[in-house]
Amino acid sequence: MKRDNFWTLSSLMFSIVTLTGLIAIQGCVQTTQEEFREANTGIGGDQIVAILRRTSLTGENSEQAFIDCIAKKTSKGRDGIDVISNQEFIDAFYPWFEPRIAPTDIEDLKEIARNNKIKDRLDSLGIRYLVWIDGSTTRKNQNGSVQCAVVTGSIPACFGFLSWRAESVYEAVVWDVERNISVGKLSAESKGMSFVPAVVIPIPFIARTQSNACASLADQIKEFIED
Amino acid sequence: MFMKILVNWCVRVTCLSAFLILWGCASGALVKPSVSIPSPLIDTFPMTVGIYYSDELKNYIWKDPKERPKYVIELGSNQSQVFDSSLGGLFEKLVTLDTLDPTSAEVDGIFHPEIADVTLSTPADTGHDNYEVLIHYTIQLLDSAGNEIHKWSINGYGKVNRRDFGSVMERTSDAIQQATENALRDASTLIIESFSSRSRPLAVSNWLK
Repeated sequence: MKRDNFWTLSSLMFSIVTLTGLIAIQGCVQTTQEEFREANTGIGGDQIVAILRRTSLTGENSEQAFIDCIAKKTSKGRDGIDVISNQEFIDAFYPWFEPRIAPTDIEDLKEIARNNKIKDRLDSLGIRYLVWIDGSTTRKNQNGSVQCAVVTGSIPACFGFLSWRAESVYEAVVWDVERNISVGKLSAESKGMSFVPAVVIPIPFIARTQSNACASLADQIKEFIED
Repeated sequence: MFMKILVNWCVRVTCLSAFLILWGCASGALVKPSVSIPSPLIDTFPMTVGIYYSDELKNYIWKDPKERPKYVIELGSNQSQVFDSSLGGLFEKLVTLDTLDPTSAEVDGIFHPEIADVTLSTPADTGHDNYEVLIHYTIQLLDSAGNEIHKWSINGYGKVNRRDFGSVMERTSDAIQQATENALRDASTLIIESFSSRSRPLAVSNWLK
């Protein structure tokens, strides 16, 4: 009987821990989108889009996880578009899209595309658009603290309140390889407050700004290109 | 009964937290990069060149000189990837030589690379979010008579964002490995770029003719 009670209560504790984990996934996030169109778009059934990370030798670069997320979400769903990933693309065109010498504007791309080897590779892979992703997620205005200690009865406990503001700001610049023009710029900005109240057990409420920005930007890319 | 189970769980959570913290504080790392550099999409020069890898370069191991957790990076085994890819793409034929003696093989020129210096910067050093690796190469080009045509000084640079390597337990070793592989790939790119018509020195242009 005692053993049954142990397992029941143990299961209850497990449920509480799991529930806490699930709650931690939640968060209050506000996302805004912007679109600037320079030309009409459209994509053929045999054409694909390259999702590329805009890298610079100085300053912050976008997280690889965000680029992977955009590539995955752009290719998923009923309105999904065939995508070539950043790594596959830069390997296929090595060394022309390496961080140090990658084209920074459409004029650079025109210059590179004069090379027959590059032109033939673009054609054989069916690449129609290059989507350059730039931006990052930052944590701002962190306040408060959570202190943990062993209290009476040898029970570890945490007390306090910790909060911060997360901002995920990303943009996508779309180049049409077929016409050698820039066709537009999209952006997604997600902001949210994360907080961790702790009364014995800390319960984190994390604002998932990066995943919201990813979902928002990927949807925009699909709509923009298929428009 | 409830208190006993609560204590039991709290002890488990505390032990797990302590383990995670100790894991995060683990000192130093042995990094073994394994870079993969694709064949370059470029036109080749119709020449046969040789490359001489010194024993020092082939076995190059960088040991962190700073007063902090010690990092060790094994760079030697990756050098053939860097130069076989770049020079192998630039020239019609690349031959690996056992000596710098130009009479040992029928070649139009010999490349002799060495690593002069390596710098590692971690977020703890800079306060930024990046792990950065800089590999400073010197590359000597000798003509078929053994005379120096040119000596390049090339800095391969690689960086990675710490946020791509775990938010709770940062995988420092993986981050340094990726930054090193990026630096090796960048060095290969720079070697190719240094042979472009706008970058190469006059002496090298004359040798290519």
